[in-house]
Amino acid sequence: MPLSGQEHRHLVDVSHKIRQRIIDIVYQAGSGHVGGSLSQVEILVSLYFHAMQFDPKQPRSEDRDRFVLSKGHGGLGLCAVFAELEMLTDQELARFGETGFYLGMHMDHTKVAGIEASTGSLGHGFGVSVGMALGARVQKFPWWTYCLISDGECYEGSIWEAAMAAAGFGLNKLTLFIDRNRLTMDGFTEEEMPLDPLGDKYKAFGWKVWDVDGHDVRALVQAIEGAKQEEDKPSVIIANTIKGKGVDFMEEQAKWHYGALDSEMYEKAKASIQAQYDAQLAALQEASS
Amino acid sequence: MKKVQGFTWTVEDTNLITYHEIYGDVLVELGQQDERIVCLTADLANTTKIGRFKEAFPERFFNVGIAEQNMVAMASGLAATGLKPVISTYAIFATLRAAEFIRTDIAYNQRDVTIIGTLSGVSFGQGGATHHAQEDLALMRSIPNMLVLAPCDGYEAAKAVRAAVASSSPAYIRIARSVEHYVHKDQDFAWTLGKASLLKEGSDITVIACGITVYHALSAAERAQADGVSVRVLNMHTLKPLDHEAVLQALTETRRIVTVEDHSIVGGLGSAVAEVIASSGKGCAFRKLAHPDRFSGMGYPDDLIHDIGIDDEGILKTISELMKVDITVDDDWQDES
Amino acid sequence: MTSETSQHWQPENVRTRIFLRSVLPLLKVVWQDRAQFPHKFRKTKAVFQFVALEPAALPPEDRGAYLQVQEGQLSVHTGIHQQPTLTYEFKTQVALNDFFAGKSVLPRIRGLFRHPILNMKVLQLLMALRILDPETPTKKPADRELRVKLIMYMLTHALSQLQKGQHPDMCQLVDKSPDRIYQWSIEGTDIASYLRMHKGKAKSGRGIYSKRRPFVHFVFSSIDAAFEVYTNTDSQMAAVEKGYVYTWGSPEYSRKISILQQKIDELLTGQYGTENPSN
Repeated sequence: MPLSGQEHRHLVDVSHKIRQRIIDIVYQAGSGHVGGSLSQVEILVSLYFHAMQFDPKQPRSEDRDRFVLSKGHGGLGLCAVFAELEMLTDQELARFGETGFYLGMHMDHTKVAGIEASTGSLGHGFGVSVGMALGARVQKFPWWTYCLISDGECYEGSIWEAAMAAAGFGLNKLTLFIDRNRLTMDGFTEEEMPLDPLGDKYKAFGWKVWDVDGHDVRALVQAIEGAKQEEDKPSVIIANTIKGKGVDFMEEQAKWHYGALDSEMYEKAKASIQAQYDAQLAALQEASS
Repeated sequence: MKKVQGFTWTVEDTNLITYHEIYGDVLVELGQQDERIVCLTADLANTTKIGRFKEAFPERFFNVGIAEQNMVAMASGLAATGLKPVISTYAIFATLRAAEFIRTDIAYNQRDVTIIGTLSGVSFGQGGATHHAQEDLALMRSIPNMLVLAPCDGYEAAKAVRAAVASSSPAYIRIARSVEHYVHKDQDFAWTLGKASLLKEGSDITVIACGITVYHALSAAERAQADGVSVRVLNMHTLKPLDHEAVLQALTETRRIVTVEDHSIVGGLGSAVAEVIASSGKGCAFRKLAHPDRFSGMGYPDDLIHDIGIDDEGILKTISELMKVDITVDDDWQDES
Repeated sequence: MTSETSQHWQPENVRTRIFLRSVLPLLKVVWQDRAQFPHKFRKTKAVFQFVALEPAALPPEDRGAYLQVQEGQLSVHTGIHQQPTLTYEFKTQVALNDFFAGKSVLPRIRGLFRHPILNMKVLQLLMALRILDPETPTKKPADRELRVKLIMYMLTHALSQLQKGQHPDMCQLVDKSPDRIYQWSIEGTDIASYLRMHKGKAKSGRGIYSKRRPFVHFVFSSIDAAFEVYTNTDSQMAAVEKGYVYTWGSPEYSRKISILQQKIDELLTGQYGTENPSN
C-alpha cells in the first residue's frame, strides 16, 4: 500500500530531524562518518518508522525484524535513528565516541540494544544477515531480515559469496539495501573499479532487483512491499543516494566520508539541512495543490 | 564577533599532518630506479602514503577497490610476470582478511611482494576492534618465507621498505597511524635488517620494543636512568628473522627482560623473545607488556595504550617492579613564572 | 560532561588569575629583554600594587598582585603588600580585568601625587605588554621574538591557571589525565614551554621538560613561523600546510589543547562562554 500523504509527510519530517541529529553528533563527538550517515537516512527511516516490525521499547523482542548494518561505519547515522525512536538519550549521544563508551564508530551488538551484529569491517554483515535469514527459516520464525551495505562494500568478494548463497538458499525473507552513493574514500566508484551494471549482477546472481531514488521514502516503501511479495528469491533495493545529502558543501564529496566541523561550519551544515527540508516541503505543498 | 570554536577537517587532511611519513616518497624513488616496482591499494590511495606512487606512476598503480584478498592474489600474479608489487592497506585487512592469500599465494609461491599494513595495533583507536590489528605479527611470523618488520617511526619505515623491496622476499611491514613521535631525527642512522638496534646501552634491565612502543621505552628508560637504573633499550624492528643474539646478550648481561608491543600478548614480540629465552635454558626475570587476550575497546589510541600499560608510564612501572626500586615521581607542581 | 567543581567556575575569577599570575609576571621577561627598564628603575626601591576591591570575599592572592623593584631586580608576587609605594586600585574585578585586557579603564592610583614620575615609569613598563596584542605592529625581529616568547610562556601558564580556576573544559581534560607533557618549542632556539598534567594536577614550566619525553609536541619551524601562528588567526590546518608548525603525538589531544588556548584568548579579550563542545 502506498504511503498516505500524512504518512509521507511524517517520514519526511523524521528524516529531517535525523539529519540534524547526525550533524549534532559529529560536532559533539569531534568527528564522524558524516557522508555515509547522511546518504542512508531515508533507507533507515523507511524501515524503522514504517516497514519494520520493531518495537523501540523492546529492541530485543524475539519476533522483531532484524536489521544488520553491514556498512558498520553508518553506525553514527543509526544512533541518530535510535535517538529519534527514544532508544538512546541525549546524554548517551553526547558521549558518542568517548573512550570506552558503548556508542562509537563501530558498535558491539552485545552492548547496544538494536545493533544486531558487531560490524565495521566491510563485507561481513551481509553474510551474517544471510545466516540470520536462513536460521529464521529453519526454525520457522516469522520475522524478516533486512541488511544495508554500501556500494563500495560490493568490492569485497565475500559480498558475492553471500549473494550467491542467499539466492542459492531461496531466502525470500531477506531484503538487501545498497546505499548507492557512488563514492568511496578514493573517489567515484565508476572511476575506481566500475560496479555497474550493479543491478544486472544481482539479477544474474538470482535476486529480484529494485532500483529506486534512495531519498524518496515513497519509492523505498514501495520496493520494500514489493520485496515482500517474492516467494523464492531474495530482493535487493539499490537505493540511489547522494553522499552527504542535506549539507550542500558535503554532497558528492569523497573527502566528507569522514570529518569534523568547527562551530561556523556546524551552523552552515544545519542551515543547509533546514533549507533543503523547507524546499522539500514547499515542493510537496505545490504537488498537492 | 564570535570566534569560531573547534576545527574543520576531512579525511584529505590526514596526509597534511603526516608529512614526515616518507615511505611513499621512498617508493617513488625506488620506482624511478626500478620500473618493475608496481603498487596496489584497496581504496586507500588518498589516505595512505602509497598515493604518492600513484601520483608519480599512475600507469603502475592499481586500485582494486575494497578487495584485499583479490589484491594479494593479484600481487602474486603480477610478481609471477617479473614485477615487484608493493601493497598497502590497513593492517587488519592486509593480514587477517587476506591471510590465506598471503600464506599460499605469496609465501608458499615464493613471490617477491611487500605488504605494508597501516593502522596497526590500536592506532585506529576510534575504529574499535574491527579495525585493530592485534594478531598480525603472530600470524605473519608463523608463515614460512615471510620477512616481518615493525619499524618504530617513519624514517625507519623508509629503511624497512627499502630493505624489503631489495630482499626480493615476501615481506610484511607494520606501521601505525603516522602521527606518533619519531625516535630518529632523520634517515641518517645505521640500520641492518634482522639486527636489533641498540638505542640505549644499559646493564640492569633490558626493554625490547618494536613499533610505536620504542619511543615510550626510551622515555621510560631515560626517566629510570635519572634514578640510577641502567636500562638497555633494544629496538627489535625485525620480528622475523628475530635477532636471537641480541636477546641472548640481554639475557646474560642484564638478566631482566621486558618486551613491549602494540599487539596481543599471544604470539607477537613477547612470545618470540620468550621462545629464545626458554630455548636457551637460562633463567631470566621476564615480563611481556602487550594487549591482554581480549578485544580492545573503542577510543583514543593513546588512552587505549595507556590503559593496558604499554606507554612510558606503564613501562616505567614495570621496570620499577622488576628492579624493586621506587622510581621517584616528579612531585613538583609549582607553576614556573 | 562537566566536572564536579565546575559550579565554582567564575569566568572573571579565571580572567583575574590569568592576568595577575600568567600575564603580569611576563614583565620579568620584558625586564631581562629590554635593558631600558632595569636602567629606568636602577635607583628605585618600591612596590607597585594592583588590586581589585570587589569581590571583597575573594582572598587577596586572587584579586591582587604586586611588583617589587630593588637593586635593579624585578619580582612579581600575588597578594596585597602591606606598604605599597603606588597602588592601582580597581573598584571591581571586571575593571581590573578590562584594564589588563587593554580597555580604557582608569584605576584609582594611590600615591600618585607623591610619585608622579615613578607612576609614569610603571605605566611605561606595563605598556610593554602591549606587544602581546596582535594589533600592535612588530616589525623588528627583536620585537617579534619577544612577542613569541611572551605568548608561549603566557599560554602554558594560563592553561595551568584555567585548571586551577576550575574551568570545566580544562578540568575535564586534567582530572583523569595520565602523566602527560604537552610541549611547545621553536626549532633552532631555546624558546620553549610545557604543560604537565596528571590526575587533577597541572603545572606549567619554561624550556624543555627533561624528565620524560612529551606526549604532544608542537614544534614551530622558526620564530617567524611562531609569530605568524600567534598573530594571525589562520586555521591550524593552514599553519601546518604552510610548514609553520608540526605536531608530534596525539592529534585528538593536540586539538583539545588548541581549543583550550582559544578559550584563553576569549577570556583575555572578555568574550567567553562554555556553551560549545570542547572537541
